[in-house]
Amino acid sequence: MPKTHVETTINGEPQEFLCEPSESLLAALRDGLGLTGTKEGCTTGDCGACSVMLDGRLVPSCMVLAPEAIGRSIETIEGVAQGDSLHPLQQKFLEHAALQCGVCTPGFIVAAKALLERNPDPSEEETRYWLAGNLCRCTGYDKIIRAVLDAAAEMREATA
Amino acid sequence: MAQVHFGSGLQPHTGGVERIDLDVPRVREMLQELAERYPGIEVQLEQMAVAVDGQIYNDAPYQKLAPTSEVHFVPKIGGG
Amino acid sequence: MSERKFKYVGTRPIRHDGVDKVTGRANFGADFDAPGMLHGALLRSPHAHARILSVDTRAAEAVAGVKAVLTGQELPKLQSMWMGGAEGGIDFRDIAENCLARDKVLYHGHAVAAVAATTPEIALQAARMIEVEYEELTPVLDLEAAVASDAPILHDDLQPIGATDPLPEGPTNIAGRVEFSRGDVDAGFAEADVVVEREFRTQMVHQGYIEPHACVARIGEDDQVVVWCTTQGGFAVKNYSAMVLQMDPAKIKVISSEIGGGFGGKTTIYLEPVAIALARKARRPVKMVMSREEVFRATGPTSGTIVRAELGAKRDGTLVAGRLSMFYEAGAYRGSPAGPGAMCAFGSYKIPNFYIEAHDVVVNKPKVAAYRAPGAPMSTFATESLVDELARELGLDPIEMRLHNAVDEGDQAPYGPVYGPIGLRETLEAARSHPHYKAPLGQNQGRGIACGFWFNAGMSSSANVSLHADGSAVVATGNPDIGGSRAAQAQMVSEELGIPVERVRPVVADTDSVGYTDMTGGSRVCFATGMAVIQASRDVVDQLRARAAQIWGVELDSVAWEDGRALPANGAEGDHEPLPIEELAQQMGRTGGPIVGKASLTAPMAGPGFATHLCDLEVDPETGASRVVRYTAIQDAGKAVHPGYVEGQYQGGSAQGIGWALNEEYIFDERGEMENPGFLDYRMPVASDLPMIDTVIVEVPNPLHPYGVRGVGETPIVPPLAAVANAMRGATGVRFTVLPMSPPRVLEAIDA
Ligand code: FES
Ligand code: FES
Repeated sequence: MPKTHVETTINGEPQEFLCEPSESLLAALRDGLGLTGTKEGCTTGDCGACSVMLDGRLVPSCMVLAPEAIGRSIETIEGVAQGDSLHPLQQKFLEHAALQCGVCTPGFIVAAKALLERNPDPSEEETRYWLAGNLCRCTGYDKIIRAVLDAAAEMREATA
Repeated sequence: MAQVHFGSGLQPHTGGVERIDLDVPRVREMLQELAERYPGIEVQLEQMAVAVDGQIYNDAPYQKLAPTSEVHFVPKIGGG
Repeated sequence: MSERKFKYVGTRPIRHDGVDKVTGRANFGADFDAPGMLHGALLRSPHAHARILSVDTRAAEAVAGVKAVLTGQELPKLQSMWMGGAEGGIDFRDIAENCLARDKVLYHGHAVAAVAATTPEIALQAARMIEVEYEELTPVLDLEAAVASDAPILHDDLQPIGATDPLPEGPTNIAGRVEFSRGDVDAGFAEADVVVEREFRTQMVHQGYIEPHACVARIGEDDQVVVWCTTQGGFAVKNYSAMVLQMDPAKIKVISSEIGGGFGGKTTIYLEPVAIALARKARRPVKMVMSREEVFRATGPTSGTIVRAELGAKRDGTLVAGRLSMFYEAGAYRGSPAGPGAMCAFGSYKIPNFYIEAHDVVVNKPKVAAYRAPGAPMSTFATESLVDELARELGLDPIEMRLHNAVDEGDQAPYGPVYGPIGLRETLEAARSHPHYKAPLGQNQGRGIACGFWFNAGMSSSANVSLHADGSAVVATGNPDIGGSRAAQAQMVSEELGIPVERVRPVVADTDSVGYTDMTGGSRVCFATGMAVIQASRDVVDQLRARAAQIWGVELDSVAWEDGRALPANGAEGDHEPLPIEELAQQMGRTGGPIVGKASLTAPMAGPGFATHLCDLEVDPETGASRVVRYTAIQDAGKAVHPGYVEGQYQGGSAQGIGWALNEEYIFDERGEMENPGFLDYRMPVASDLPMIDTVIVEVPNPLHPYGVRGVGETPIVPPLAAVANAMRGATGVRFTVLPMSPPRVLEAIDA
């Protein structure tokens, strides 16, 4: 089968690549483009390790076909920090020791960022339900939730 | 003399003896002595760790034994 | 020791590998590629128990893009050699045949053959074209079936190990048995005013690390092998792979990647020897990555168990007798954690008369691997449930009942030796005075309490600390960092050298660059490797003092070390200006050369770590669904080096235990195929299932460690099964003896 030519925008930069028509966006990002910050935990949409933003919508990239990215805009974990300065979520994850092994962390940060973009002041419960699509086996979620709520508070203060 | 204890799992190999006192300088000599007294027990003991005065060693033939030492045999432990 | 004032130990610095992990730069197992690399795939057995009659690889070999095909017959045939110990013991023949089956497949998903090809898709497609002829055998799918007298036998040559009295006659599925006893059990029970007796059952559960197993193997022109992989121990991968392939271990170098969780499940090997063998055949690097389904079907899990338990007490709550008969599934090959399960079962209490036996039983399911405090959660589920029942029957407060019987320093552990300083009592007292214990319960809620303990493995560790010319330091050890161990090691170097944590760079070295180091596991890294780090740092300090003595022209004992500076001492005070580490480091070249501190050691097993957990559970009587609404984990850490990561261990272990208690289980069909090999149906806790998990760090210093550290990683998973079940008892009035307490089971039980 001929390969599909994909022109898309990733983390603000135009990108083009060739892929199998049936290839997942996750595989294209990781294997084709070397963006390995997006992790694979299941390929069935159940762990959230592969979370990315597609046109501003949070999606598990393992459940999206790479050709679906044509003409659209993707944001991955690699685009969350601005140059050397970490996003408040990244900083708070570090301060709260909200990662142990860290393999779930990129997915959580992308997902939490999506949450704060639509709801800058989420309750603990809203945060827990929003992040229910992301599995973490190491932390029991306590410090992750605290880091997200703390980042939200800091971001509110910064814009107040 | 070091007091060497045998749990119930080992007693079939010691003819029911629960404890003996041995005058041995180190774990290695103790194991040799036990193999002589209770032929066949060495196969069991190879699979086990040695607890000397409460500290457990997985593999320490040269660990010294004091005259007051208490020795037990326990399954080897690793962990996750 | 407890008097020591710490400057860096006990603080919460940001971990050194943190920025790479929050930005996606950190490389985990599957994130590494080698130039010219091929992709490997495995063909797995569709049967749980079958003899392999023939394997025909011709069709697979003919596929365009296929560069090598490998079968189990091509791996060296090993003799069985059982080595007791480590994670319940290992036999390299079993490890080899678990990597690729040879004559028999022993579980559904057992790897049978492998292919290396130019793409993962071609490899997988070609693997499926390998034709295997099987003679199907009846699978042995549960413990009762396995020990039945007419059970089909998994291994004709299985020799039971351990105290087996009476010895099983002829072929058997009982691979081993341990027992422990004390006093006169019958007399003890005769003395008891109350006796409770139950049979407890748990199912296989998986460690559930989010990162699947992955590796890349490359053979150099000089036949030197390099393996990149995600593992809890690079040296284990090196030595185990060498055994399986009958190679010289010196020919294998292992570079461990960042590791996305292990919990014991990455203490063994699955892919690495296969990738090496494929790479050797194809003369190209080979990458292998498991799918989640493969992870469930063919790695991990821990044992399903049956525990028959009996416990007797006097009217005042004094425990007088206990009896346990336990059966642990080993999976396809011997080596379940029955032994440590037996050792831990009564570890928290003074029981004058007891008898414990535990059997290691093979069944046609995946071979179990270590899982956090292997064996202890299941046996503790039984004993802590019975202690709770006794307290109820006697009308005693469950904490008072436990305090009344709790072991202290000087008491004999059930497995023989006497405990040193331990903190069980302190954790119970902290639970009693915690606001959680006094908080009122709502409707349909119950509160459970449970204790538990785990050893800390000691074992071998090495560390190098080298000084840069600017006075900063690098500490290299051989332990992959699963949960913040780099930060803790840097803190120890800081404490000894007197330099800020940011001035210490901790690195995980490959197996050619640091001395032998046992695995990251057994709660041993902060304890044993930490000890090596402290000793290596002290070696650096001694060298720095010698350099200062040389500069000042004084004897070594006239130089003290404090806060990162050499100070004149012993009567020389005031004679010289203090020399800071930066200046001494700058002068290294002319005062004797670079400064490198080294230490290697074999540590004895550390003092046990005890915990007490409190759990509030709310049950919906309409649906049987339950929810943990409050949870507190209290544990003795000896000395918490980085309290943030210590709390994280308590919280993570609690969450895994809650999942085990309420939802997680392997479900097999009657042919032995796992029916729920994905995260959708194997349901681990998600954020919305859990409350905040409160922690209390108790510190009873461990005399075996210079700072008093105890390992903390494993104990947290021991109490939750019973803590949740005891809370369920409070909420529903029903004593659950079968896990998981999933909604249908709960509904059925409360309707009954
Ligand atoms: S890899 Fe996409 S959700 Fe798990
Ligand atoms: S930190 Fe390991 S899975 Fe979340």
